Amino acid sequence: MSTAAENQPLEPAAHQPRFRFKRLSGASAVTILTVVLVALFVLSFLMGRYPISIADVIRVLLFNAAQAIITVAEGILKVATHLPGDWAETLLTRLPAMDPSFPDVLNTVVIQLRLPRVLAAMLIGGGLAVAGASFQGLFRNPLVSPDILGVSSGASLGAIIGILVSGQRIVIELLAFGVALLAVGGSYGISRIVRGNRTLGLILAGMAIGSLLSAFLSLAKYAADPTNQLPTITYWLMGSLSAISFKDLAFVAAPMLIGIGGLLLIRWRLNVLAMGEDEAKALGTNTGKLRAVIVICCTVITASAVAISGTIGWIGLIIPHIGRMLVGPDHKKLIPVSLLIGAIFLLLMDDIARTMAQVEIPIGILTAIMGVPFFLYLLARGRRGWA
Amino acid sequence: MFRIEGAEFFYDNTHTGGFKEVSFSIKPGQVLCILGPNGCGKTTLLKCLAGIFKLQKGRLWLNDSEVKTLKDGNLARAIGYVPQLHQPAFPFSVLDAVLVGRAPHLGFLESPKKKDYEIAETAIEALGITHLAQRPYTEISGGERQLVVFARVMTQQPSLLLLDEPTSHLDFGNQIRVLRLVEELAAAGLPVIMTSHFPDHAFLVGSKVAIMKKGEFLAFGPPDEVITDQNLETIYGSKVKVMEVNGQTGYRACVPVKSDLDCICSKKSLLDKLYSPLPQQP
Repeated sequence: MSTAAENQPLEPAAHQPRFRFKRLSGASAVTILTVVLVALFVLSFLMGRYPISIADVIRVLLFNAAQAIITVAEGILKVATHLPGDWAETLLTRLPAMDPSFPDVLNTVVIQLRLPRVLAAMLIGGGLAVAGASFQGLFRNPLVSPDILGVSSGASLGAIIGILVSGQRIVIELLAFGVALLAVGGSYGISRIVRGNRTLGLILAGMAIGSLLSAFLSLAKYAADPTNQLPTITYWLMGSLSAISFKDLAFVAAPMLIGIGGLLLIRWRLNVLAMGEDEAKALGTNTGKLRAVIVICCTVITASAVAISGTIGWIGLIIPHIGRMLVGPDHKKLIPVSLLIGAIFLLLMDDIARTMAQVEIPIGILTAIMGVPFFLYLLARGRRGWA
Repeated sequence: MFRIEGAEFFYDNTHTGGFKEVSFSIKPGQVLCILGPNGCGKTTLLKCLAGIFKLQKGRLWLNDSEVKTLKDGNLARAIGYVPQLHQPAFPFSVLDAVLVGRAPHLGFLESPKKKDYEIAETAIEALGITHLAQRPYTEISGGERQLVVFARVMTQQPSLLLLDEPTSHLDFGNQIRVLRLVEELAAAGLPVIMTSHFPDHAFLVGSKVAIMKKGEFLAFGPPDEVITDQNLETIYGSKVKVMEVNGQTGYRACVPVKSDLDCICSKKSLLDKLYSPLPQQP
């Protein structure tokens, strides 16, 4: 605070904290993390009961990718045959026919069994991390996680109602998604009648709704049949990616990708909002509209994630911190970096969950057991990455 | 040229916090200094001018166009607002914090481009804080942070500057430096409206002074006419003497006058009851 120090440029070394993670530029962080993610993506197919070599994984993936491209090209060319000229027909006959050079069982294991799970882990991990980073910016508070507005309690309650009334997977997913949206809608509606600080009102309303739903949740557990329904409920609440199929992915991929895309588009505005409500308004930002967009995107992402995987905690809270330690708090870099770290983290956790023990460990338990000490370690070393 | 007529705003219908019947005009290069006690409506007035709250009555003109017709973005492009010093939530770098000033010039989904970076860097350079550009602005001193906020508002390239107590929480040297900066920005052709708790600051930089009490302007004019012993006593409820400094003409300062009449504690005996002297060491 000394005034003498302000008059002359300071020696840069004089102000360097004792230790800090070297900050990366946005582009290099994204490049490095993408390489790590792609490598982990391929390696993840090796995890599981059926032994597969890495060459087989790459062969199966490339074959399916090529086949997908050919199928799309075929579809386009078939439409193009209606155009004048016979170039489309000629090209159609020239399309190569693909013959797999590997046994069918490999295709089943890689594509049918392991691919949906790997994709889901990446999508859910990345989505929850981006939602967490956005909420922390919106609420100007690094302790906020994506379920602050009651989305997780809502989804859990919906899923439990689904388990109690039907037990069918699609019913559970739809109810989880629907009740999660209702819960956040309720929090948002209540916050609008709170006078004064809108952000604080939103947090308080979210806490109230969350507690209320938790009470209903306990009631539902209490009412459940303890021999068959209660174990299902308990297992669902722990979170798991083991049952995810392409059908589940198809159900949530669109809302999650739209939510993530929306947050990526408005990410620089989060910097403006993080300056404070009044300042953002004075800088010509429609804070009401921005808040609504962020809440909708985060809710859709989190509700979708919880609907297919159960409650997987900690990702939305800790990944943004790791991101901040790597690239700093600028949301323009933080949001894409959080997306990648979240995807890497959950993919890694799921690989561990599948292979560490004879029986699969519920991933929600694992993210907490692995995530919390890692987080504390980073905090202790990074020191100021938190502030 | 900035003009306001019959402005009125209240938070609720008890008509306690807020202001009414505020009219004035200032020209480019002029600094209007608004003085008044805590809670008189100074900050609320600035927030209304900045577009954070909507005026309930009255009209504004900025360079002959009425401000009501300007949408949010346009208003922010025309009017720059510096709020009271605050503690930021995240350790943004100084450059990122300054860059935020480009927000009104960018679309809802847009990020700053090369041109915006250049403007922000120019503002940082103009305020002599280039050496701080990559530092987290949570780790710099209060005086430095105030310069960052000024760099941000200059990055906004406004045609009217609103400063809410720009000298609060600053040490004496930094107060003088910030006032000099305000003078320089005004001299560059910007009308400036600022609030202050120090009548002396109005003597230093104010071309116009407004005295505000309970949401109304009591007086408006050049500092020498408005800042009088009587006016200061009316708004602050305490005896103040305006004096010529060292016989130099044109420079005045305010000195509080001690008198027995303005005791704060209503009963001396109560104070004695609360404040017991330290027990004697055995």
